[in-house]
Amino acid sequence: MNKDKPEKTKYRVLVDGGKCMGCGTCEVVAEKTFKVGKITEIVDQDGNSDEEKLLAAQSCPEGAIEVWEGEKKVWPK
Amino acid sequence: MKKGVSLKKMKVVEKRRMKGDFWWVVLKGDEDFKFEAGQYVSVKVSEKGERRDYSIAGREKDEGLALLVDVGPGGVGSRFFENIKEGEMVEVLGPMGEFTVRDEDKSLVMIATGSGIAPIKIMVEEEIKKGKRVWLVWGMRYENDVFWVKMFKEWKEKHANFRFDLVLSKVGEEWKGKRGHVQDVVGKGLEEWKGSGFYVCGSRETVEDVERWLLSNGVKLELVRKEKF
Repeated sequence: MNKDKPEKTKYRVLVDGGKCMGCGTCEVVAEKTFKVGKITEIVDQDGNSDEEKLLAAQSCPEGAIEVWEGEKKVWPK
Repeated sequence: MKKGVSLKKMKVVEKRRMKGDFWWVVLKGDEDFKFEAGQYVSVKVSEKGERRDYSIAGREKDEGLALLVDVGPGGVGSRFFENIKEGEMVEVLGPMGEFTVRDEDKSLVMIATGSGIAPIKIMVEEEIKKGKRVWLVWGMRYENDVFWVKMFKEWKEKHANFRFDLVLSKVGEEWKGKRGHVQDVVGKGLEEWKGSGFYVCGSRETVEDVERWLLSNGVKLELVRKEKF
């Protein structure tokens, strides 16, 4: 078991490919969740903690990342 | 979070207007803040949690960092920095970004427009001290918005390896300096500087225009690095 990886997180992230500029900030903040190439992929919804995923979304300069907890949208508010 | 990146509380130790909409904001934390010239930080600019990116424009004593903030756009980041006062705390995430100078570039053409001068200024400052040949071309619209020109001229006098050109796009007949766009100026020295590393920073549209122009004028893609706002 990978000790650095949270077992199960509450938040699910979505990337709007139409808004994403590929700047890579999300990958810097939550590097086990996002992979930025020609498009930004979500490689593992549980790769980082909820706090890191939320911070990645809040740091996105294009507002391209949504964070959901079940049916509730956590970000953007 | 990637290695070297962290979330910190930093104090605003200085805030002063440079010119017009441009502010110089110095932040200082309790611990060392290590960064490379050209990197940026993400600053929390609202209670809601919104963040905006700002390039680091200067190293300050006691491990502080300085930001050049353009409040012209008038958005949430602009309002935050217009209202913030010396002594208040801000939440900073960083440093981030790969817009840094490559060792293999023996000479550098640094092209900035508007507040794109922020990371370019610190990159130039550090590279001319290392002895690299550096040509800075800064494009602005109006003469009244310009600052740092005296400082750049002083650097030019002190460092024979530094060349500086300011070009303004919206000026009247009384302006005696260069007029037009950064491409007009770079074009005149391109043959001499073609093998250099080209670093371009400014608004998204401008950076894309300049990059296209460089490539269509024979500059190799691998020599161009860019940072867009």
